[in-house]
Amino acid sequence: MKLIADIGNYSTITALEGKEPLLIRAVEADITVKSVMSKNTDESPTVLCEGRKLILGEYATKQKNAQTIVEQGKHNPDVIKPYLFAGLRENFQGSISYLVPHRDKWQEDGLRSKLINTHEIAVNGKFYKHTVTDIQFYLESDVAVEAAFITKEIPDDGDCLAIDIGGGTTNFLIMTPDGDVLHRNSFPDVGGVSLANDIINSDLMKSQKYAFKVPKIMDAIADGTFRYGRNYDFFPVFKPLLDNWFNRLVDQIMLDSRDYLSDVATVMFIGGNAELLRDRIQNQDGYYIPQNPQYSNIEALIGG
Amino acid sequence: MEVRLKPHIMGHIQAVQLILDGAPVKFIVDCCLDAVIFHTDFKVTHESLKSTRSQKVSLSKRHKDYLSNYVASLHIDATTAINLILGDYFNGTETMLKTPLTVKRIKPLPQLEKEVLDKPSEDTKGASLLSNLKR
Repeated sequence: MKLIADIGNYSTITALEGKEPLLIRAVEADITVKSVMSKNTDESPTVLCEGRKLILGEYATKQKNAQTIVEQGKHNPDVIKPYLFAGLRENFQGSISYLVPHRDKWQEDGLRSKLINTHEIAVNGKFYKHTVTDIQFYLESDVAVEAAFITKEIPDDGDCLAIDIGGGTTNFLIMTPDGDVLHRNSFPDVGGVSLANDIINSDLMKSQKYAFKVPKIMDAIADGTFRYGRNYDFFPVFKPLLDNWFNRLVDQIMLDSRDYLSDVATVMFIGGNAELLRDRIQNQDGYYIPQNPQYSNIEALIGG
Repeated sequence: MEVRLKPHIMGHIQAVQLILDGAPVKFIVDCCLDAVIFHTDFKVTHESLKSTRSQKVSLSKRHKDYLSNYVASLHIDATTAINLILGDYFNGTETMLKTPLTVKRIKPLPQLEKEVLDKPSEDTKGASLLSNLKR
């Protein structure tokens, strides 16, 4: 068996090979010593792992002591473990295909040393025993572009500039139809979190004199309500801030990759925040956003 | 615009002042510059006096353009320029800048055909695709 994992700043996506992926918001609340009514759903599971009882996902964002995976350290195996196995509903034995934004020997060795083992974990009241035999690492944006070339979703008459706009980080790369990566770079803190911070720091939101939380702003963007809770509507500032945020991102990418842009025939957007740009590129040649851009990387691996 | 006249120029001006019955320095400078720029035939025969003082003088607006062009063409400052011009005038030599420079009317580039504008050139296709997304 193979478990595929895309641990992101905003959400984690896991899938067993050949099965549907499961997306969980990358937020946890520790309820080890608290009596909290849990939800026990797939999207908001309750996990017992290493002596800690955790609520993960959407429901965790409602808890007072909610913490995002970024705040805890996304590369810490102990932090990742509950998210990694929360989607499994049977005992697992096999390898993990793990998506990373860039190769880092220290992080990879750390994950190998802790995760290649047998783990006992309870999810929504049921106990499971998972044995990880190996971990293979894949560069997350590369797999999506390679798959798009293979499936002819993007034309092979030129290179592809892929921009992966995630929750916390924006990766981009330029790949030839043969799969050679001519250039790649990664801008940390330019993903959706950056846009959410722009909104929080706008005059409109500051005038509300309220401590807004980044994850809830991101949720309000994702569900299209542009409203924080019931009272705080940030729609008036969203459009200009989105334009400003994206224009800055485009400028950064152009500056960084201008020597490689001459043969680019397609600009492809992937990642959770690519959806924000869909109306911009509608009915225009030369651009491509997959149907579910947040699943592009994991689906490429599931497809083999 | 204010400039400082060098002692050797002031020697000429003081000599002219003696002939013109104590005319102000600015008046004489203006007349000299009119003669250079507008060819007014102002000419006073005189013998230069020995002078050791320099003097500040403000120029008239009508000379400003000429002086600015002179300054720009020789890449010198205004004080040096005025001393050179007056020096040439008093020595009877012609100034280097015979006519005031004028700004050339540069024709704008012809407008490109719409199809050319719409279609990014092959060299910059990727950059065009990217920059077209900006709003």
